[in-house]
Amino acid sequence: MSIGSVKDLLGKGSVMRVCVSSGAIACSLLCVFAVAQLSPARGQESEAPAGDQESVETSNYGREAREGTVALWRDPDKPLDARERIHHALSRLTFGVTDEAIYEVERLGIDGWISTQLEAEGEESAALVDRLSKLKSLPLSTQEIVQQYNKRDGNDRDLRNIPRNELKDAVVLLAVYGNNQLKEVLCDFWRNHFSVDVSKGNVRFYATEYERDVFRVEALGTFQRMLNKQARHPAMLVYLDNYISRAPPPTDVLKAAQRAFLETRDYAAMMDAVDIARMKGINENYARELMELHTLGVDNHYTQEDVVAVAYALTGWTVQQNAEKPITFQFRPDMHASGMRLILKKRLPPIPRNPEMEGQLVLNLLVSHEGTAKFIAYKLCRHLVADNPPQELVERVAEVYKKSKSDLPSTYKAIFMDEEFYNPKHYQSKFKRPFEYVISALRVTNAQIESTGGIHKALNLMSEPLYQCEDPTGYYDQADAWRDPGTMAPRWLFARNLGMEQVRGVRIPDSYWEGLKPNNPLQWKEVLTSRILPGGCTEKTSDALDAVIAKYARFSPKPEQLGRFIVGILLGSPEFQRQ
Amino acid sequence: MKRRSFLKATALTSGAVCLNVAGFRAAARAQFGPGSNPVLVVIFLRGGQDQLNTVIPYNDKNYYAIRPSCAIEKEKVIPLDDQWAFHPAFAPMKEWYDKGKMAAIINTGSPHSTRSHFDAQDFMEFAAPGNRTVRDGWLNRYLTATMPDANKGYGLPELRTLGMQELLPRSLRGGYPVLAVPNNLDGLQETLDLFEGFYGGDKKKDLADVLKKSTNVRSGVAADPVMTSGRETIYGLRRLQQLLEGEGVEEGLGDTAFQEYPGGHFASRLQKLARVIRADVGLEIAATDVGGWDHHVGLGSVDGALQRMLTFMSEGLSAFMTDLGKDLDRTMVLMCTEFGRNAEENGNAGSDHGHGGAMWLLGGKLNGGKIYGKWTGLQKSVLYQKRDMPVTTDFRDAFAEVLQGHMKFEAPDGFFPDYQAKLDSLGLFG
Repeated sequence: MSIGSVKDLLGKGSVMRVCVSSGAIACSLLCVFAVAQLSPARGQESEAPAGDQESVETSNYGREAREGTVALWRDPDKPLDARERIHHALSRLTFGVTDEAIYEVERLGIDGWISTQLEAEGEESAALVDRLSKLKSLPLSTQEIVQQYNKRDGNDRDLRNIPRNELKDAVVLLAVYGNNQLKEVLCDFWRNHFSVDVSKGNVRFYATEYERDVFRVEALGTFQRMLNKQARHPAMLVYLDNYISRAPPPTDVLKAAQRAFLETRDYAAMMDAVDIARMKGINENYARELMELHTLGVDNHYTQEDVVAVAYALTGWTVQQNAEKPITFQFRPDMHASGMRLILKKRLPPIPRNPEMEGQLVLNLLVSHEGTAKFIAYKLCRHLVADNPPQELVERVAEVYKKSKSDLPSTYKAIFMDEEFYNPKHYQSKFKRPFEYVISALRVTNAQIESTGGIHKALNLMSEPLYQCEDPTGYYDQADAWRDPGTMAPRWLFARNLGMEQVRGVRIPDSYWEGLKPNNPLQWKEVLTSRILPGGCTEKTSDALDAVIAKYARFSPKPEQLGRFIVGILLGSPEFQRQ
Repeated sequence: MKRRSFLKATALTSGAVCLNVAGFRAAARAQFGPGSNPVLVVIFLRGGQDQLNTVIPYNDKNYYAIRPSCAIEKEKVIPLDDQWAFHPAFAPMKEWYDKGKMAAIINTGSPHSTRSHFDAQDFMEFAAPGNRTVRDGWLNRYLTATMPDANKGYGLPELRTLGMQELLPRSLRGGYPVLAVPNNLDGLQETLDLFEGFYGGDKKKDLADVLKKSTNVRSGVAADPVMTSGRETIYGLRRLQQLLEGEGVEEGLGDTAFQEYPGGHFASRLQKLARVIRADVGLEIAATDVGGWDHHVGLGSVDGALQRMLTFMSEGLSAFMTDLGKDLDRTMVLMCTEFGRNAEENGNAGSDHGHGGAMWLLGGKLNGGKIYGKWTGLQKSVLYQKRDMPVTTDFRDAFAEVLQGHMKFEAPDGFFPDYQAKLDSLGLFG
């Protein structure tokens, strides 16, 4: 059984036109989306995971779990064995455990693999690079995007949503096929931490560069730099309204303008009034979320007075939106309200010679604040370890964040290298978010994505459309947010449709069925189960699978049809909902 | 996904308000005869619905002064009395208003000053303004507080509650399991059958057993929550499908045939609900959202964004009310929004986030055909922060009165955290 390389996945000639001449150009253009390193050799034989047998034997379904989230098919007190440790690490640090990834971890050791992922950026496959190169807006500057896409083309086709659709495609393709899986997982985390919604105004044009410069560069950088960059990025400045936050105009000016309009009803007077009314003064939106969502955590160390003071300090942080010039962060001294401020119990003086610095000092204060260290550590642990991470772990990670001066790889390592990470009670305890669910299903089936419409549709039905979280909170990563009765239905439909090749634009490559013996449904079951549920499954799942196979086999389907059927069921199984 | 409160709650606050439910249930059922129980349908208008252009003070010259481009001209409104008129797009609602089956509460909302959508929505759906530790929605708290006690042999109503969208609105989130109903149920049956063996749903199993299991999960005793969620998905959606296909409905149909509904998800959800209510299988609480009310730009006058919203809303609701037939008396629709909009229009023929807004009630034994609430005029001096309609009725008073008057449930202390709701302050059922 070939373990499809990325090229296999994308290959199949008919789908991909490999454009040799564009490869090198694409590589340089996409240097940030896809970075260089040689792919290691890939295993060409199926690594039938050794533990499948064992997990069935030790399955203990029905045992009362002490916490509702503990995986039920193993003894929750038994420490993870070597195989389970690999499986656990890969479940959390990639978007889906593949044979290929297991092979690499066995080669490098878990810590070695993690270090490689954190330190050296692996080159993406030629097929992925080529695929990304077809998303023409990806490498463009924001100015170029606005110039080229904020219009209709010669056939009156609206081009405005192309950049955001291409961005969403790139995120999906990188998550499924990217070799730097840990980075993709971390980008997903930060994308939700510093969430913006492409449905709001011009954010649709700004998000491409935001993803590229903020997440894809700084996910493996420092929190300080990431915070500085997002605070100055047009996507965030527009999304949370800081671009209009300004020193208020004098009341008499405002009133006179309104009066002029109401008396004359004159168009020019109305436009004047509109302009002046827009100068309403500070907008607290960003200042609040900066502390509540991005750094300190809600109601943690700060007060409403701090929100107002931070909003004032950040007045004038706006966006140059005229597409004649580069669309970038702009500091407008005329919109800035300078002054002595008391923020988080610290006195910050006005800096008349460099008033932009007043806002930067706030960011510096926040980055080094104890509350931020704890909040960032907590959120990372919640995402990577458990919905309710142990307090002691959070504190250890927060210490490393502080000591390393917000260096993110050091902070991540503090989580992964901590023995608590491998505490058996966290094993398979996280309920996959829809994005994690869909991407992992595509990964474990070596899915060939010809077009992404069906994938985005599924994410919409599961209520997690990419880059379109309505609230600045980003999508939640706790089970409680997603596990309502009824929410399993769209997952099952997707699972079944993916197996049956009824997700538009997606198919499972023929190579996936190689090595499966005709007329041996049980062998199919065994192979496919070990591939899709390498962590094992409960006896109940195994029995239920037998029952449906027996029922289905009565219709004497072709072996491949039976395989599709089994795949669909495994993807919808309770075990595959967890990571 | 909007579960902002998760961030805010470090500790799980108990949603269970303990009280003896036996008396309550008897009262609720006695009112409507055997086997039938009151139903509350809550529709959340997300984005900040504009009161002033929906129920219009059409004889107030200030209205025309502060909304120079958005006001509805006097000759185009639908007058209700000397003071109030509906937006022309609300014409289908006028009929129900005249029948005494519809009412509005004006200048209602939250005492909290926030103009943030998600804070205000959280506060209203958790019915706990400013309190960020409450995690259970107010409807979920009702369901928990009135949960039939399986051990004592009360008849277990099936499909007691439905969230008519893919992800539950926050008002329905919490410890009591609520089914989130996908918009599209086509082809689902086969899929449910396929996964049944894996999640333990069993067609033949006694309903009580299924419910008991899921209830036990909530008390932390057994079972894996993924399995439970799957089982509830299978059971709930299968039962719903049967009802939508007509089971149990024909006999109860009686006086009306099913209505034609307009297109769109909203109407389709109401149509499904009507079927379930008419089948009389114990539905008590349903909720859904209608988004798209955040009209900073182009709120419009006779035409515009608001007109389009009001049109499909009122047409859908009118079909629903007709569809319910005799069951209309035991069904009540409550529509609320996180805040009203700024009284003055802004520079973009729209209106910004405000404070007091309208709540809408339909059906039930409502004392309708009235505009409830205290109107204080539009002079700047009486506006909240000189710009918005003030809140003269706390939304919790309206919720409490609906729970008491319609659901026969008197909210116990603590049901509204940090607040003692005033009952009968409006007299909705008097």
